[in-house]
Amino acid sequence: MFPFVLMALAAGGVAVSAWQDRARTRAALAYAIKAGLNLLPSLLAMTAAIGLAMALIPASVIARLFQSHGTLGFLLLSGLGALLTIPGPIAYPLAGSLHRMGASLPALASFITTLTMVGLLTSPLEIKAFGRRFTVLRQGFSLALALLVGALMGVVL
Amino acid sequence: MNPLVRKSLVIAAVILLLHAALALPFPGIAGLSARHWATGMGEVLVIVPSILVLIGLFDAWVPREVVARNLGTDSGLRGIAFAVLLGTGAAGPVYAAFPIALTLREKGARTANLVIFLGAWATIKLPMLMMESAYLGTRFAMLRLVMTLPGIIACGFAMERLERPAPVDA
Repeated sequence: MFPFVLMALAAGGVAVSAWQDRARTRAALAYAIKAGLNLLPSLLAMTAAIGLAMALIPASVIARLFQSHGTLGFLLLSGLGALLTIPGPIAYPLAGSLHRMGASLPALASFITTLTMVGLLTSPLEIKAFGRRFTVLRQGFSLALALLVGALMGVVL
Repeated sequence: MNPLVRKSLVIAAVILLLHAALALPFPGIAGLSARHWATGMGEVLVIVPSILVLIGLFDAWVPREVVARNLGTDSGLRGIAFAVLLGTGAAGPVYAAFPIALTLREKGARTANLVIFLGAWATIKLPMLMMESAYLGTRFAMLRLVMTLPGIIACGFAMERLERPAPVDA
């Protein structure tokens, strides 16, 4: 659904822009193509790395690991979440099935937060855009925030 | 041939070769990995091109001063609210947001607002909140939101203090 809204927006935008100003629109499209070609090698490698990681670690093994409650399960889930970046539509069903398999809610809160905010496998893309220092700082802070949210959830829930 | 196109082709070829090599001893894992790869690239290809076109249009039409005024050093609370809204309204994984954030930075957005934008984009999206409620309970989703949002804002300002990039303008 969202991808189609985005495509419609992009197509509509190009149409309006071309109607207003041909040259500017051509510059905008050239920018998009250049940026896309720049991203493509990293995107190919990153999706392959995530695919391999997901294939090597089957869901049943993950579930067995995370049935261990307490600090170990908490850190395992947070660590796995920090490694991968998975978009929400995949992350939430995954978290839901882990919950049914016995993972604790505080660990899942930390898992979802690291899963969506921290991604060691996607960090090359971030370093390319913002540099190493920004990336390390942002991911470090996000990881700390995720652990804190998870720990607080343990207190509140 | 464009060097970036060649690099992409080489990487794709290496990945395919690796899968072929993996398929000899472990056909199951190789097949699953290749399927995940195809799914992942498919997701990227339906989302990223539209985003890049929108960024291109944004870059061509929106003047620097507008971004600097709404997300820059003096944007204050409005800047924070704007960064959160910009992040929650969009779709796609966080790496789709990196090029957008880069454009915002080049046009004068302050670091705190960039980090808030990325954090909001990554983990607090309204449609995702409904999904989170469905899978893990409304109480869980609301609590996580209430705890994460101030954390993201705090991270933004802490990062701005620690990360001093070369000043974009004097």
